[in-house]
Amino acid sequence: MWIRKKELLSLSEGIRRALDGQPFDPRNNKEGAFSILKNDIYTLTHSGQEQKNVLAEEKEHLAEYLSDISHQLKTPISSILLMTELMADAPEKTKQEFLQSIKKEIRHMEWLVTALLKMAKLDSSVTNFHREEIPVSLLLGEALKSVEIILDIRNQTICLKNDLSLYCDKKWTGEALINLLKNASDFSVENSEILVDCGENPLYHWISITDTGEGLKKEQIARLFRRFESSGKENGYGIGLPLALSIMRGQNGDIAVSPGGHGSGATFFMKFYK
Amino acid sequence: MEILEVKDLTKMYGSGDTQVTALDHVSFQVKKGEFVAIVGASGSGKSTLMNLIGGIDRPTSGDVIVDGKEIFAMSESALAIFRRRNIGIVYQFYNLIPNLTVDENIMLPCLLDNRKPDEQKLSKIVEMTGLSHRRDHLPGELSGGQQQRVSVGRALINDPAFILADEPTGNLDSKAGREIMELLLSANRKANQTLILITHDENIALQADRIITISDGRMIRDEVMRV
Repeated sequence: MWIRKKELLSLSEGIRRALDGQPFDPRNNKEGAFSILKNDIYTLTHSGQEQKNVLAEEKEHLAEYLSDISHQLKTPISSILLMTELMADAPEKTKQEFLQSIKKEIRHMEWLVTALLKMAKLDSSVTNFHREEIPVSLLLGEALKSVEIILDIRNQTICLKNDLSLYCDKKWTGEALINLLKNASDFSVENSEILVDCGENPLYHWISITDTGEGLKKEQIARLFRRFESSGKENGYGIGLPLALSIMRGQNGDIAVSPGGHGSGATFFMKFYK
Repeated sequence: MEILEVKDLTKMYGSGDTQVTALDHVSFQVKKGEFVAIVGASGSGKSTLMNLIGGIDRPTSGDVIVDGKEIFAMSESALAIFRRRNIGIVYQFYNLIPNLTVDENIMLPCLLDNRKPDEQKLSKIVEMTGLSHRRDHLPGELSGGQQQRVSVGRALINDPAFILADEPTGNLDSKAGREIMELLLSANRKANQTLILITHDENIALQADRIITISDGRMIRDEVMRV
């Protein structure tokens, strides 16, 4: 292959310009090793540009979270202000009701801020996941502590069908599991058993949670993982599932949904890619 | 910069009274790592859209910009080479070379460039397809689902800007179809591989991060499912 010295020099100059941050695209899409080299050089010089894009995107995400937080806090704050104003002239019984509502709204805000901050941290890759081998039964045991009360009130139980060890961050995965269990409880009928199962295939390990609801319609699936969209159930607050998804995606995993229907509930799969 | 930009894409066939507008000023962008499903009924224009994005057809007007490059500003031969190096296509009917082995079919894009792929990378991809024990088999000795898995491997070998999958499960039974979706999803999540999947099947589309709906040649909806 005969390459003119002029071409090599111009390629060198282009690379130098790329190192300086200037645009450089040497690709000419011809056959031959020289053209392939140019393709590879483009890929190499572009990896820097990609990192810049990632940082810009992170900034955009953080701005979005800030806007979400302030927007979501407006409603409970106005509620609280209104109630405190009305309380002044209210009879004792009503005052007590208002106080309960105010407490509820404050807890709501606290939950919201915590969850949003967690998501922001996850998305900005500031979070370090400490992965370890941990059996599903242990994860479930820990997670149950946070949902015991709700399950008790609704007389719902959890049944673990199988057990295996998987490699994940115990704290964060537990958090995702809690949100999925809460969701399952919301969608299940009272006096029923929520089924938790686990297994593995060549691509990933998985934990599944099946509720005893009526299954999910297409429109519901679309809204599931979007922040602050109502799931139709008041306890949702609209952030549990998006948070669980961020957690799984942050540790090389994902969440998949099998909609169920026709008498069987929906199943959520936590996937842990190998 | 988006990995794919579709700009005001229009495709018309015929002229005068018999003119048909298959695609009518469609525009959208796809970011690296996104999984986008393009849905529409038969005849909606989604196949036309796919052929244009893949550079297999030329538009009447508009642009397709892949990784910063306007693909229709290139000559046919340059575009073929660009496509080989930058776009991974998975077809409904597998399109494997019948007298090449599993290994060779997966390696094909590299072989056409006269180079051998990194052995480790090839093994990793073969392992992902679950066909490590059948590397020297011919397509004729494989089931439909297995052949499609080889297609996906072939699409992945060159780390393309994006994978374009046209009804990849259309010719498979539900179990094999699920396996192909898992394979594509796994590449999307693990390798941050951008995936553009054309389908008429709602259940498949619902697995995507974003659904673009085409009807009568126009983009009528662009819905983000997972943020």
